[in-house]
Amino acid sequence: MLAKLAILALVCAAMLKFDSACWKQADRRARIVYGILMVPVAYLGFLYVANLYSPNLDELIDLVFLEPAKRLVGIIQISSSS
Amino acid sequence: MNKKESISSIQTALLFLVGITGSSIILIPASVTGAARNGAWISFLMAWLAGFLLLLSILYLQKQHPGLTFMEYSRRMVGKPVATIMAILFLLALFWQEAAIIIEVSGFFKSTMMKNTPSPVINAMFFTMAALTARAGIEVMARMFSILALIMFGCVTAVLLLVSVNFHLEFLLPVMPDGIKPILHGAYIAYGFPYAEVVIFSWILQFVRKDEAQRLGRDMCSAFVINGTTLLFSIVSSIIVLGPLAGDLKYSLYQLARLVFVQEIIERIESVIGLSLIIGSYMKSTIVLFIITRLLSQLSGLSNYRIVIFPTTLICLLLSVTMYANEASFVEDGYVMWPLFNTIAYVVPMLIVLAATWVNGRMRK
Repeated sequence: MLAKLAILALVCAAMLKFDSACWKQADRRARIVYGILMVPVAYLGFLYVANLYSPNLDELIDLVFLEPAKRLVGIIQISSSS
Repeated sequence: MNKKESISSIQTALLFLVGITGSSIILIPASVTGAARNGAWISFLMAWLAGFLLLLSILYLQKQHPGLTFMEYSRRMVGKPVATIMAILFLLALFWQEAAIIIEVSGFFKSTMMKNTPSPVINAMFFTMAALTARAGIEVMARMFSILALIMFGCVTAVLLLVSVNFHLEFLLPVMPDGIKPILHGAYIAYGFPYAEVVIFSWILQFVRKDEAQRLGRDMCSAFVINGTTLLFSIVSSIIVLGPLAGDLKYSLYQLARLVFVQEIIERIESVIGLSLIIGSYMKSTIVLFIITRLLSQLSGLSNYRIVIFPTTLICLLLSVTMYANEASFVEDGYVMWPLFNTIAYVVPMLIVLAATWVNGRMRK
């Protein structure tokens, strides 16, 4: 866990260092958008460090689309018994 | 930095070609053949036709709204609130797609060549390259991908030609022993990946230079025919070489490459397919990342999209390492959920805007 945290911190630091030049020239809107994008980074980073997988984007999408898709595939798929 | 970027019509078509061929040339034959067996080529042609109709649709939209992005003409046609909802759906699908491209390629390398390398390391390397390339801009991408595309198609063509000594045409029969349903299932998979994704390339059509806009349709259709021919040949080759095993062995072209043996001089060339997959996935993920950042910048009203590239890339990287605990759920989502989801997220919004554009055009007359 500590190793993952260290790697994540390193990656974030590298990203912020690389973006520092753009950040200085950015307007207020760009900085707000950048800050908003750091929210999912923080959440997903937490999932990564804690070795968790959910709740995540795939589950959000599956909640709505997986069952209807399974039904659709069920219609066009031949059953294994036939 | 803020100079308006433009590329030629042929470069746009090339980006489109590598975007839709990219990783699908390695991944599609096995999945479609697994569903449709010997009729996989029919499934593929059905999906290709659907993709062609989508291509014609986005070309029509670009012709009607020259120089505008999908977001800009969506707002004009359906209003800002509806366009924003469509954009958010688009964005969610793009994030999933970007993560899935890299999950798939890291899965390939984990199972074949880099068995002891942790997936996050492979993913991070791909995303770093994709981010740096996307940040360089579409002009750099177009120039660079010209050479990489030659290498990718060259490798694939070479493998398919070398493995032709193992062709058994009788493996194509019987064509539809279980009726039409497996064909439809295969078409569903092939439509979902890669043909429904044609819609996202509406985001790069605006970069075509004005003086070359007339030939864009011709060049894009040519690229689409090249893609169809290549993928069709890959699928048919998988069937006529691997026979009944074609649908059961993942990464068909990789399996074909393993069979190449010419006088003990040319053998064990499967790493060439690994190279093709790296190149294809890298190009596709770069293009998708570029589109995500363009969409984000348009949605949030940013003048410079480059500032959001690295945070977006980090989100995609973290999604790729946290989304799926096991391969089975990823495969289910990829071949069952994704065709429906990307139809709702990509195709339906495009069709709504298409209908609004057409009605608007008729009313003006």
